[in-house]
Amino acid sequence: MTLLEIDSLSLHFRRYDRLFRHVEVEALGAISLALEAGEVLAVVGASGSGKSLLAHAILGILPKNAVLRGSLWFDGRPLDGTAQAALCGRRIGLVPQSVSYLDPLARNGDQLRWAALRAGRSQRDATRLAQPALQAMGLDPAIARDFPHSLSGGMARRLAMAIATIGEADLILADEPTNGLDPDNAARVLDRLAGFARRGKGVMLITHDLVGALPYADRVAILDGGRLIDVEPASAFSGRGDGLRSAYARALWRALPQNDFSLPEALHHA
Amino acid sequence: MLEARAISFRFGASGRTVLDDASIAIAPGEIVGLSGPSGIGKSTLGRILAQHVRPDSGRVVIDGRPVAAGGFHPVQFLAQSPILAVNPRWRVGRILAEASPPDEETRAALGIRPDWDQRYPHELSGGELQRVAIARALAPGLRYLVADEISAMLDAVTQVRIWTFLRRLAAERSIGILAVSHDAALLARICDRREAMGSGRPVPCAAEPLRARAAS
Repeated sequence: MTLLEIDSLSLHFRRYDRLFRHVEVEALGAISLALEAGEVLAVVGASGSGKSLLAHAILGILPKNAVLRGSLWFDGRPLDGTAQAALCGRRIGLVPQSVSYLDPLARNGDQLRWAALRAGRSQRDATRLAQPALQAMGLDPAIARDFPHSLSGGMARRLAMAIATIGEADLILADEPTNGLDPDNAARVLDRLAGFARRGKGVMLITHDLVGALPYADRVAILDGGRLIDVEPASAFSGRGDGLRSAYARALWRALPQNDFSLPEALHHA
Repeated sequence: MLEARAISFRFGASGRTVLDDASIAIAPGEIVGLSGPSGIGKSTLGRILAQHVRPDSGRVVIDGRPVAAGGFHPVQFLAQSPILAVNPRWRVGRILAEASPPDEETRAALGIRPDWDQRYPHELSGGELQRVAIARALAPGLRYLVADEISAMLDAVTQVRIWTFLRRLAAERSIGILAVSHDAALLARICDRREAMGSGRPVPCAAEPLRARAAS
């Protein structure tokens, strides 16, 4: 079942050039992409490639000067402004890039309960659900009484995941969920995300770390300079990368220090 | 030889001790890798080597002598986020020429296009701006580079491009480089030898076997 469909989505930022003249600067160009229920789709790109903007476009949280064209569909229905307001935080959950998205002045448990309330749960349900939600993320329920500053980076990221999923979201957007985490904590976070997909949810894993994402992803979408270069099955990133369709994906794979750490001649001076 | 000798550093008067009797040496033309978990003081040691930060005790010397104050510093620091290391109100052309305008050969090798000169830093991508930051550091007086996670946020293709250039620079101009990174596979590719930060000071470490998780 197609959970999310992105149909020739483009994003421009309107900017004043002179006093009354404005220009549009392209940030995303004609992206078409579908995410199925039960899969982890990794969206991989360097900083500035537009991957976070893609997530923000899906959630409807772009800045005011953004001009969006094309269409978004969620579960067969158009995902417009009204639908975004109704679904985000409920059927669509965001695991944000920065742990600074947590409220430093609110106890961890309260932030979790508020998320459940926002998702339409009753007070009683929200309180009842908080403890298992923490445990499901491998967190000690005792941290509910603490404030975010006492959490390590990995724990904070897992709390953010509990917050994003306590409303039983069907689609989880995880924006660089392993940034700044050591390999053990990163693996723990990615394993939880893959667990959501195994239970039938759709996961969009946005990351600059292709190697780290591969063991958990089903498919990999490669973004570069705001363009969708290609979508490849994760399994094609193996050996010499001969199973990869696009030349750029092959170059990216072979350029990894674990592989050849070299570029094809055509890319050297591009 | 660039040396940090018996460096101690803590944040604030009563803060956590980050460096405790730390010493490291980088020879001309040598690329030394420095790894370790986040928050352990890798970047602080790098900043002290470039004398952006003054240690509580210990000295930084080149060929046994302290570096004269003023002018272009022979040790240049390259940061993970170049956008924070450039003046946002200067155009790229002015940023590049801050110490000494790079020659055509350097520009070509780093793929810096002439039309970038008229742009502002935020109008370049992270990888493009990192190449500008490298070109800016390559003034004639340069002898050592501290490269602090300079390719961590870049794609693998750009990473190869930057490090191919820097390795050639080390070999041809005998520039010593301290490469700070937590990417063991990258360090294994680029370094002549490696040190790991542990409890306040770097210690030599053996190379780890490298293998892509996905490819193994």
